[in-house]
Amino acid sequence: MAVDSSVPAVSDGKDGASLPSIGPDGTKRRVTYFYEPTIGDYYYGQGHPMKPHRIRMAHNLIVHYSLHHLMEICRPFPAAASDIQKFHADDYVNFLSSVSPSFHTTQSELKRFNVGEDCPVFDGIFDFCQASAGGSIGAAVKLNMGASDIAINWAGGLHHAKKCEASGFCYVNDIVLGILELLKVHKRVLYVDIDVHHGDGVEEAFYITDRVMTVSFHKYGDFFPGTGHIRDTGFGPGKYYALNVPLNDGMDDSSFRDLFRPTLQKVMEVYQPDAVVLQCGADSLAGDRLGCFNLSLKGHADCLRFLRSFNVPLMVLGGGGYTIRNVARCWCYETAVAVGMEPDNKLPYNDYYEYFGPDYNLHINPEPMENLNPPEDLEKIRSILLEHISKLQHAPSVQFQTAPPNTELPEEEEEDMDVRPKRQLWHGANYDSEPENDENH
Amino acid sequence: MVNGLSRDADVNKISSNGTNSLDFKTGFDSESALRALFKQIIFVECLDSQPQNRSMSNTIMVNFVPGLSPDVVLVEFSNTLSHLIWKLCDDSHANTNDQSRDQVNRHICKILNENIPISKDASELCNMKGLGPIEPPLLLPSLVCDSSQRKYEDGKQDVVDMLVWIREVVALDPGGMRMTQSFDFMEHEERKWWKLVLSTRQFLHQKFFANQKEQTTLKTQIENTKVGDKLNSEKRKSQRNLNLPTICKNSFERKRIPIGKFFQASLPKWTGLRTRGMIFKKNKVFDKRWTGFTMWPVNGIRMLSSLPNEIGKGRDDACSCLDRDSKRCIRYHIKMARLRLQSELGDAFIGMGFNNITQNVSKSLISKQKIACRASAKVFFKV
Repeated sequence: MAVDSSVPAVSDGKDGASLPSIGPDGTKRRVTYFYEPTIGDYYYGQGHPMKPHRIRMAHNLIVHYSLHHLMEICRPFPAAASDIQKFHADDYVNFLSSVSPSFHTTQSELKRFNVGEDCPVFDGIFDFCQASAGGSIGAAVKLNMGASDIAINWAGGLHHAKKCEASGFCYVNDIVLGILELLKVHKRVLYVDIDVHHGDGVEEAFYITDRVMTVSFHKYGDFFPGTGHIRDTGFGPGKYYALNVPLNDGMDDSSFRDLFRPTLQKVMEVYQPDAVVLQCGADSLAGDRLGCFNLSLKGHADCLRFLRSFNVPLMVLGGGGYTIRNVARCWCYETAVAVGMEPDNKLPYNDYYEYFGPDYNLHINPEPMENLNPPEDLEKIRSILLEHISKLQHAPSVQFQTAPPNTELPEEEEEDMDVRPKRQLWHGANYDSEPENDENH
Repeated sequence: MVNGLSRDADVNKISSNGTNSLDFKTGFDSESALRALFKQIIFVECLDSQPQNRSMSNTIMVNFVPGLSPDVVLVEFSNTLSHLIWKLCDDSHANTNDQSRDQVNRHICKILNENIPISKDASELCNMKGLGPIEPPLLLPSLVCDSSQRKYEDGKQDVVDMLVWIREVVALDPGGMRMTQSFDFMEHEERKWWKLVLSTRQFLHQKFFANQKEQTTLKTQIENTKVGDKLNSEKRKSQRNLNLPTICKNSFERKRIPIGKFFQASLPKWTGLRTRGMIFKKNKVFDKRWTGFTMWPVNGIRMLSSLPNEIGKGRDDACSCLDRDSKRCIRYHIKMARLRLQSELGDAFIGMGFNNITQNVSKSLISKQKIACRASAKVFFKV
């Protein structure tokens, strides 16, 4: 196809920095990490593959690797029902906030909100949602304020939740809530999803807008949730602002990288987002209980490394991941990548040490499985994707502003990336709870 | 021939006593039922704005009518179709304006969006004919007694009649008299339905089993085992017990993203503050509670004493324990790592919940809880 020739070959530099970096130091970022200490206590039920405990395991590894010295750790403020209602339907939120295993609800109500089998009612279900959403909204506010360059919330990334119903272990779509918060300040937000499942909830929420572009890499074909065809690209003003990369079983590091980097390179060039949200679902790793890809930690984290190199405010969220020892490994490693650190392969002694046997190493080996994505298919996919992206440029309804010239910038914008602004300390009841500025509404 | 209204009344009576198998009110998946219904509809693009050109009352038809704004299209249902929809979703919702009605609308929006290939060549369709997001109101005529009577008297009531026939004969009395009667004794009308329904069932049945072989569409393994059980038990039953919802659930099809107010987020206005630094100065814009409680660094103080070497460091396998790599040795090192962390984090150790994990949980339990815990562990391991 003719499109191919117009695409510049991506340099294979490991660090991937492609747009000129703004700060004087391209490797250091101010990182905020949101962690709710009780998140690991929530339990979906016996035999359910979703285990919030994995977030606690990841946190344990992170702290034992002493990565906390390179970032700020915040306990999220729980999102109230009214905050969640900024995306979700009122009746659904009311249902979530009132439901509990002991509270008797009618079958029809459970059916209506798709709560029951995949998405069970468990103890503290709403608290869990509040913590997850609070972390992502908090991460967005941190980025909005310019107080950090990267904000991480491993309890977030629940990308299947829909406006009026739960889906695929997700009840509240913290990603949508976080992006909505980002949109108050950032004109265009790019959402990238490397979970093995299609990020349908987020795509659906922003399907008809050009202010959010969604890019999802996922297994497609006879696989949950069934959406995410390559030809589904958005609608109306949002046409071509949803990009779907349908893949087959056994995706390995090199195939993934060869698809991810050129695609995102082009998207970043053309779309020029003001902020990026990356959903790091760890079920695309090798050996996942529900997934079928074959990525190593390095291949998975390469996506983060690449997006980080663009020096655009970045929100990093969790997501799926059902072989929990690997999820902890992955998110710990990605936290290290975010702070610009390469941790030792030998895991430090930690409270969950026995989970990581028999080798007790950080990195995992890919499985000996066949990659069902032949190079020709990937080439075809890549050219279709690039074709879709190229349509963006020609879309008449969209004005892509070039980055504002430096003269327009106030002086404080030029602050050194390494110098941390003074932090606001928590003084108990003294927090600022004034409602959002009138300008917003 | 029985008059339509009285048949309708019969159906209502039957479903209201709630004892039969077709209880639509509880446990019935109306979305799947609607999905099955809409599969039977052939969509006709009819985007002209002269509704008087076509007769809506007797056909199963969906019309797209240009809405008030150019990118909104209203969906109009023919009377017969809306009757069917309400019958599938419980009549009582039709006249109310409550959430259940909203839910039916939502389901239909979703299904319509999935069925109409709007994303395929959408630009063309969208610009030329004004087809846009399918927004409610759906113009679903309500079921009002008077009007329904009139509609039935129109004479062409095929599909509603068929539905009634299915409920009376097939669903309520599956092995009953009428089925055992020989074909010749059937009324002409009944014979027509009998043939039609059976051939449809046969078709759907084949389709279902073709799909079922490679069935791994559902996300969880738990659900897979559940479905497996369901499929196994299904084999023992007769074909009759295959219901439409099951068929719909298991087939893999390309799903589309639905469009409408039930699905998309409403976006906040861009404040126009493009540069983040500027906003940082004007902190008023932000609700600072969202930044949460800073657990680390404690009191904002960064201790950079022994750092550079420690960060990212893994374990040191060269320990001086005599019983290296033994259980005791590893346990000892884990404990030491924990103590080191405790002294390093200070208050943040408890703040991050480190006191409440692994074996330490048992320390926080009161003796009563311990006994209960041990008892349940015993039961668990015996079984």
